[in-house]
Amino acid sequence: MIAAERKPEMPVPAKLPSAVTERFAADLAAKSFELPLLPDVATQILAAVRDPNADLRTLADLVRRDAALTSHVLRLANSALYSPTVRIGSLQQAVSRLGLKALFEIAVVISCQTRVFSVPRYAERVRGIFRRCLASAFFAQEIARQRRWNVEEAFLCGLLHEVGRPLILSRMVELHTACGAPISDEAVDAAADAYHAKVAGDALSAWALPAKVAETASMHHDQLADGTAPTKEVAMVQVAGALAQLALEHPIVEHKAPSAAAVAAELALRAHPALAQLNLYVEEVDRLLARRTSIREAVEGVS
Amino acid sequence: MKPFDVVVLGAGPAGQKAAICAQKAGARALLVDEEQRPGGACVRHGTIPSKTLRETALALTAFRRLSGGAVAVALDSEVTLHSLMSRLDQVISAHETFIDEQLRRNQVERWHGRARFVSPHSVEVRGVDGTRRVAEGRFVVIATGSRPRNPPEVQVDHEHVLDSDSILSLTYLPKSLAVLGGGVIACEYASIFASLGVEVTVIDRAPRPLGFLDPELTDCFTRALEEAVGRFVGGSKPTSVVFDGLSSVTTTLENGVKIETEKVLCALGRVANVEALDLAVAGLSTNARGLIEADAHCRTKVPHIYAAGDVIGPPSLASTSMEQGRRAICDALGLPSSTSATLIPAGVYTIPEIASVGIDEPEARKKGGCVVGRARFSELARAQIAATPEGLLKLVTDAEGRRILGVQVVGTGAAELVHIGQVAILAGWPVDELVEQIFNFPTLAEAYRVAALDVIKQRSRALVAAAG
Repeated sequence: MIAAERKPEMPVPAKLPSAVTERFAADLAAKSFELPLLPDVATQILAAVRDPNADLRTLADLVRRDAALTSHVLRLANSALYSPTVRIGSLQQAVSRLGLKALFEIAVVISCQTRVFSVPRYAERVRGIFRRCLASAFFAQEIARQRRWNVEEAFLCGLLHEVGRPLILSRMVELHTACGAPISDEAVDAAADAYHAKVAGDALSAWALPAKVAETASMHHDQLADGTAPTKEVAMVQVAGALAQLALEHPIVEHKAPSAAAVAAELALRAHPALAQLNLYVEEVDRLLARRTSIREAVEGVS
Repeated sequence: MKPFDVVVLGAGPAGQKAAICAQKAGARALLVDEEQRPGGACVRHGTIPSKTLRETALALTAFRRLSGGAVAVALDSEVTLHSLMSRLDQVISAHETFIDEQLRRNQVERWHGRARFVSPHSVEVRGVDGTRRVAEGRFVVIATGSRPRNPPEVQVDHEHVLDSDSILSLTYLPKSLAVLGGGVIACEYASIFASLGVEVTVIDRAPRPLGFLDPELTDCFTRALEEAVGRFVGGSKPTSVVFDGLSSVTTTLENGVKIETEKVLCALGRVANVEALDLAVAGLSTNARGLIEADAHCRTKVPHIYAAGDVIGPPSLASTSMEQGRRAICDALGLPSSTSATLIPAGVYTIPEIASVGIDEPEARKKGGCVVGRARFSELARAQIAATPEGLLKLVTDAEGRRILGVQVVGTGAAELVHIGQVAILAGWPVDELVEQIFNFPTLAEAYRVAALDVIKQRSRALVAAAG
């Protein structure tokens, strides 16, 4: 792992009740934040990805077993991201359009959404994080395509870089129940802000995903002394995150001039320091921005 | 800003050497490139990465051969390409650092950005952050390189259908790969992937691969490809390449044959990177193939503008590009230019590798006849020891069997071996000199002696026949 200039280890936010602080600190030290196992259907689809004998019908059957997955596959196959020329109604047709790799990605997305990004106490907040992560994943893919990097790995880097936040929120709910002490939203946010990257890195290391995915999640806020990101993947996720935020918070409305806030947000994005590190010129940034609407629609289709 | 003597566009092999040559001659050179570090596609996507993977493939095949089957070497199906090229970052970084230092040592000024002509002597350079500055040059050298050509019938998505810039971003080795094209890049990747156990199908409209080379050599390549897990489908043009959405890409050929593979590599040539340059402003244009026309001294039709490397077309070899860069500067600054460098060797890093210098047998026969001496590697002790007996060296001489006209080699070490022939041609050695000189034993270089003896034997027979 590249040594980045990390912020000094921060103490657990003082606003947490002392009983919670103690247990949370112990969890951090023990790296005991674990991601749930991939659901069976995702595991089977992953196996099918590597099985040369897998056929469309088997895949469609696998998807059909999971109602949430079925509905998401159909919605995504019909989204602008996959540019359908005709409306797709059959699952087999949708599976065919999306492709095996995309199907696996969707399975990971859905399992993340239902198992990781699912904290009823903080439902809205977690939904927002998930939407940003999913949009980041789609933008990371596009950046990878432009830079001729691995597209699949880029998707996972984008999708999972903030996975530490829901894990911390979920643990806070458990600690609240166990300790019986009230925890303010402010304290929860402070804990998530301070530790989500570390928690994500630790948790993802255990999920048998490419090493770059865990490394990127653990360093996605890091900067070297010269202000650059410690790795190209971190720079990619930083830019993808900024693009995701712009796409979700400032949607393009046809025949309507963008708001002053949208213009300011776009200008800020164009000045993002990681763009230079990725060697993305104005033309490439324009191409990424042109994907805003289709990626936003794809996110809407899933979340 | 004070004008530069030379503004060089592009920091690949041609651009680097042009800028360094200019500085060495006392001129003030500016080197502009759109990437942060020098090297061009050669370092990032081309020569260096593919040869790094090739070395791994060679090491694996060599281990299989040399162990005589005592040790089974099989790649794990989960093996990642990245792990096979674990040294790649290190190799690229070392090469970039070397070039960086060379440019710094020669005090070449560098600008990072995209250039376009704003007048025949001036270029505007737009940085990645959007800042613009203008550089004026007494001379301009265009060396912006090339990128893969992706024809409309092949939708390259860099995920299922890849080009030579993205092929090495694959995470896992595919089970099968269709390679579209039969040129150098196509054949090099085909043999690398085949030797790593990937089922490779090379598809090309030409009847045989590497059509610019002597067929006797390319037959060795085709045989080796078939002995691995590959095949060559010649005389076929793909009409469509479609990802089936599941796990394979179907390549449909003109004759209706469909070839299904997990991935496709599109290696159907390269196009020059000239669109963004606004060549018309400088009074330049491209030819029908999208290339800038230049003469032997790399002069374009605009007297103070030169073009070198891939932007002027084949042979598109790094070695040639470097020479073209130097040649352009020599002409621009009125420096003496060596004429010996007209003899440029070609190296194709297939497995086995192929190299050629001078003229080959088919060309020599067209030009009035020749005597050809052959040395098969199976006759060389070194090749037997190294378990690489498949190889051939051809020594092409004039019709009298005395003057060496060319050397072609296929087999282990071909790209190195060919240089002995190159020096012999340049030195004007008669064939007999190769027999009289002593070579180390056991070496592959002995092939020269064996081939020379073969020429002499044929010459003697011809003399006897003529006398009789």
